[in-house]
Amino acid sequence: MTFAARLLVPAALLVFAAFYLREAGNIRVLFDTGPVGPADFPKLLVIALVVAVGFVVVGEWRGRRAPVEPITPGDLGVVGLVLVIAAAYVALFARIGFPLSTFALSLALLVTFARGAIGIASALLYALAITGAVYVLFGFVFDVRLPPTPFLDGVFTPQTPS
Amino acid sequence: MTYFGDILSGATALFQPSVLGFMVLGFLIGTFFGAVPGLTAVLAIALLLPFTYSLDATSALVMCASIFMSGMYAGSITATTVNIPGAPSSVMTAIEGNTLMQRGEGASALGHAALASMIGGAIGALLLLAFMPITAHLALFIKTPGKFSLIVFALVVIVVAQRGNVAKAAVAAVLGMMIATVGVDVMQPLPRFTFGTETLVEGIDLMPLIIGTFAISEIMVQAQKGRQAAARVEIADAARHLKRSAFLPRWHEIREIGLFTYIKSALIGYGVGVLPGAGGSMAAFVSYAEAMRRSKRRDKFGKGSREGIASAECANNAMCGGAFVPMLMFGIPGDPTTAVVLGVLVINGLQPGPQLLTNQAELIGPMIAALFFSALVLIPLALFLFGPLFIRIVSISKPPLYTAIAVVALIGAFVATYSTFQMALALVFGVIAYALRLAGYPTVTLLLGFILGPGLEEYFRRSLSLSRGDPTVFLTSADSAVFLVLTVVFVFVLVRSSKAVKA
Repeated sequence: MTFAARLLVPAALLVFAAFYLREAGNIRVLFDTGPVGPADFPKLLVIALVVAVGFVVVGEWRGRRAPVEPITPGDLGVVGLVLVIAAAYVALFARIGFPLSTFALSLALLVTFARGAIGIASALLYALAITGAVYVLFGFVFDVRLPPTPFLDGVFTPQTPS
Repeated sequence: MTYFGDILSGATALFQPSVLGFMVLGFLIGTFFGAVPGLTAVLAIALLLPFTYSLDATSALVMCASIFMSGMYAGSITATTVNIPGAPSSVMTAIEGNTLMQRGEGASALGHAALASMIGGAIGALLLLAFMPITAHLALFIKTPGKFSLIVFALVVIVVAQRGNVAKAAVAAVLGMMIATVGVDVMQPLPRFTFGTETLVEGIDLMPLIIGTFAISEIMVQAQKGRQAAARVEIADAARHLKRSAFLPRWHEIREIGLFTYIKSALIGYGVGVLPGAGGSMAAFVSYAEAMRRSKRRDKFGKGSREGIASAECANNAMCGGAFVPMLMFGIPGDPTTAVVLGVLVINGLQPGPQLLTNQAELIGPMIAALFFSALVLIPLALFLFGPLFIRIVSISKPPLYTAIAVVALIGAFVATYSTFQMALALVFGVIAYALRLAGYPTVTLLLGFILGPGLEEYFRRSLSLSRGDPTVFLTSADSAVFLVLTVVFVFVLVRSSKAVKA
């Protein structure tokens, strides 16, 4: 990781600090609760964050020549893919229901984690087993109401949310 | 009835079939998560968190205690067999245990690790039982400025304990505190950082933060690492050569290590555990260094020393008992696992503090008993019965394992409020935690900052309100001054020991 890449997190934190400080400035006081108001502690946190980030940047500069474990773009791509799959799952979970969305998530993650080196039959069986096991655990053992997939009612039937 | 009577009476609940079942289940889960490199006891308890809505508080706490103890011990399995510490606290065990493994004495190394874990864990649980009333009594004397200084002490120790990463640990802790400010103000019904949405008025729930920080980010880290087929072959090969009888430590080896080493290591582990944020790896390291310093067989350290294994494993399991003290009495977690256990307490509507001993002995009793029995009975029993099997479990195929963890984590986030918003939040925290981990920021301090932040703000503002804005109240109040002095002393000691380690 280059020195510039190591500064990405500090830079993001400083942007966040600026945004947070602006929001802290918008906090209005309902009534007087003493010398430190509701907006003051967050402002102190911003100062603490900026100071700590400053020390981090100095530390990164001093250690800029230290060897670091390289991360290949391919590895980061896999992480990105996992993230996209998980985000799609969250978006579809309530819409298409637990059984279908969880089966699709399991299948997609299995293929991604195995980096494609898994047979279709194995992947389908694992995905079905994981979906079933998670349903038994949450829906049956712990009685959690999971969103149903309408056209799978009667085949694989989680309890309908009330 | 006396304190011990209350606790012992509560501990009998452990022998109810259902509670006992949860303890054994927790032990097996903890062993599995501790043994598989990359998975930890913290992750196991984080995944358990959603189930605590359905479990009763006693079963949930018993299960957590059992996972904690077994996860700490199980780290020694892969540390010994394939030189990959299952948990960070097993690094010292990897140095000695794997050397023994290469000499064909791996089973003996695992046996000594189990024996030391058993002794350390049991002593730690007994010390927890013995010292809790004293701590609870002391906690009653702490007033508002003192509570503020106690949290400052905890935060500073947590940050400084992250050797080599102090600035990054501080950043993560402050970030955690900032996240905690979302929602209603600690002193008046005023929403802050909600961006006009009603969803954020109740604040950020602990559940998505824990699941995101420990489960989702771990999934992303494992996705980045890819497959490790070579290690699987090595582990399976190692398991084939281990025999059950070989796990029993020989008497002359135990005598060589000496009772004093076990007791001293347990006391060190317990003491380190009481310190906020120190954790099992520091306990193991300090104890190992001390054992090496005092040993008559110092030359054997680094070359397969059973004394080295005993000191490290005894200390990291004794740490489990110590870590519960600040969490139960002050709401300050002693290590990442107890931070998540604190979440279990909060979810069950329990408030940490001295009143826990008087009002909730029926909950605390089984939990301490679970720590004790997990260490004393389940660790040796599990190793003897399932030792070779545990090692084979390590070679389990990773894609289905991580897929199952991802699914459980995401559904778990949904369980809290039956809302996909919590799932999305867990995902967001997972991404943040992954980015932080990638850049070397300890995410444990983010969680501890999130937990301790609201208390820090409340006691800070209340103290200044009571003193009419006079900041010297933190120095003139005796309890507060004690904690501030302790903060300075611990910073000095930790920085000095850190320099000594580097040298």
